Amino acid sequence: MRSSATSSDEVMASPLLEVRDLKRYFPVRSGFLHRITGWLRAVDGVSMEVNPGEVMGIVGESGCGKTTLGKTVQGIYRPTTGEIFLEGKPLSRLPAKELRKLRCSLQYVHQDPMASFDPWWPLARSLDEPLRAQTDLSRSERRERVARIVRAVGLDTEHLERYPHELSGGQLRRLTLARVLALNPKVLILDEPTASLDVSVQARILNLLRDLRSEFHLTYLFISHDLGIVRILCDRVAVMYLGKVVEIGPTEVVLRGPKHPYTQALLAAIPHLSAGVPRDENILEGEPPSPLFLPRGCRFSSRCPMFREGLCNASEPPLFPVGPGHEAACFRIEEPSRTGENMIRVEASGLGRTEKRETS
Amino acid sequence: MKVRPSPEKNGGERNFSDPKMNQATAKNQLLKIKDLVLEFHTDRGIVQALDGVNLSVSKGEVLGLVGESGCGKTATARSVLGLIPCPPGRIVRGEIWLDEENLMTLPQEILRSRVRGNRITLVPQDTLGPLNPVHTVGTQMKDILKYKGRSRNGNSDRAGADHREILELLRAVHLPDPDRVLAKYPSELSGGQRQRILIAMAFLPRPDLIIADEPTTALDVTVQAQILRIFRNLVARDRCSVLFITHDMGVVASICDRVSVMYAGQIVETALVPKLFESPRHPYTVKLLESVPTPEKKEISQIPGTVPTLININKGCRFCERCPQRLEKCRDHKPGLTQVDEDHAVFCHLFG
Repeated sequence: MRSSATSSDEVMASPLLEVRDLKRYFPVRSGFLHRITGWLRAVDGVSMEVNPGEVMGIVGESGCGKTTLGKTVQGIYRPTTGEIFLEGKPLSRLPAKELRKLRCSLQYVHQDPMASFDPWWPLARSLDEPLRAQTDLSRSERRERVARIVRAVGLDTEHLERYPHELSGGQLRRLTLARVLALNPKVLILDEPTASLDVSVQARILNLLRDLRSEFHLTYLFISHDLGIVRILCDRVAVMYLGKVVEIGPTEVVLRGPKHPYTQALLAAIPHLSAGVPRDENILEGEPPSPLFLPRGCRFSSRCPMFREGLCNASEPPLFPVGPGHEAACFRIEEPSRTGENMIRVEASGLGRTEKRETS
Repeated sequence: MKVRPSPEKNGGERNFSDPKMNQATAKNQLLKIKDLVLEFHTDRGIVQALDGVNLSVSKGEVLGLVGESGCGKTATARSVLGLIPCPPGRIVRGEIWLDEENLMTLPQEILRSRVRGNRITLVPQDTLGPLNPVHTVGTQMKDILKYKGRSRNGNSDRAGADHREILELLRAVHLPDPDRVLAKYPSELSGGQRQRILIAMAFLPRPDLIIADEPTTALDVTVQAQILRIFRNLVARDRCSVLFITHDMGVVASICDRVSVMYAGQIVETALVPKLFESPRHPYTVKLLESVPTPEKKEISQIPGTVPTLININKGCRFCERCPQRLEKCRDHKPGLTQVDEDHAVFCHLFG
């Protein structure tokens, strides 16, 4: 949970990972001289704390900056501004040697397992490399450790003799986990670890991640676009939209009672499995605007069903506390008398016919 | 496509042979696949991609075909379209009926000129590949009406009528500013916009059957919800039939009337959508539904084992190696159809 005052820091365990007002902008160049003509604000002021042993979910649609956030936290990208603390140490101010050592405990698992391995190397060599680079272990010690970890992720050492194209997507996924686990990390940043897997394989990877978490005492930063998966694995969840966190809180609370209109729309867009559920959802119109040309004020204002002129497009809403450990960035939540005005557009069966329905 | 005439074509050993049921529903059926067996001849052996697939799509119905990757969903769709490359593919036996016509007996030439793009259209999964990058969207849509569909009926003011029809469809798929979209090239549009164009193109010739091959897989959930709604509205407008291929049970729930579940080249269960979710019968369907994560579920279970390779596979039920309720005969005897309920059929020895 977030500590609300500085005095409670002594009482609560200090966060393992802390991100403070992190920004990552990418320059956009154009023209003959390749001058910088604009900035793509992929991550634009994200703050969060992740406690030891916690699984923090980061959800959002493609292009919302979740992968950039993960990569910036790990150090693959340099932050434009902002600071990342691991065990209280600011990463940007550490000397290179110490930073390199500390990075071992902060590992990133890439989204595409096929692209994470060298296709010309047998997998044993790929798994050995990080140990060779980061530790002083002898060859046999390294081999032993890799074998132990490979068995822990449910594979056989026999798989290590093969090349990446000889294994299935699920097996490669396990090996990407094994490779980073060999370094005894504390925090894993998992970027869509079940993307492009079939549901039955996905279920096995999710259960494996849960087992590994308790076995190796891991903390996860779990990036996903699927709120269903988040529910299964994450303690807390941060919902991102166009580079900003719009809602953050305990998973149960956010999924049961989403406060931000975007979270509500995201949940409504998930098709329900149970039969008899009405087939017309509260469907968002349009697609997210380009992060190069952000709307004025609240970033969600161009698609928001609760948009109000003069309020939402005047300034950007900060995160307001809406419950214990639960925050949402929306001006309309703060208003006491919402009922009656709080309409969400619902498209009914007829083409273009709209109907108004109250949200609760 | 070459079809070997099979001696036991009319034999009574086919599983799908409840004559009473067939007669009652035959009039209403638009597409009917009977006992389709498809093989691919590869260097490593013969891949038995489809093993006796039976399914039917009634007029105005949306049939979901659901299963994991490699289970034969797309192979089934491509067989219907007559687009299985031969070699390496070979349809060993089976019939594919579209109304009164057996598509398997039609030559490629007729399939191309009269069936594909006229009576059956396809909404593909990939949105960039199927569109020509050097022509504008408008040109490509007009081409469809020029060569396919109803425009061939000698309409006097064709260009104007075509244009109006295209604009109407683009509005129906919720593309803002259709005139501007028509002048654009595919690369200038987003994935969601291209998928809308492809859906509009599939509906343009007013086909009898639309085959949608995972049309929303590459899209975000909010865009997926929009696309599914558009699809539903257009199907209701045109009263066409749809074979909707997907791996996502949630998508099935929100768009399909009936659903067939496939596993490793076999249909294991067919039911009305509410019935399948309420009371799945086949052990695979049960397990599959349990492994789908949803925002309501806290736990998911997993299916033990892995999908078998389809080379030299056992003759019986292909799920038997992973099935918790396996019987002795499952391995070597293919289960026949059991009608557990009206509108609910399962291929499993547990119910036979």
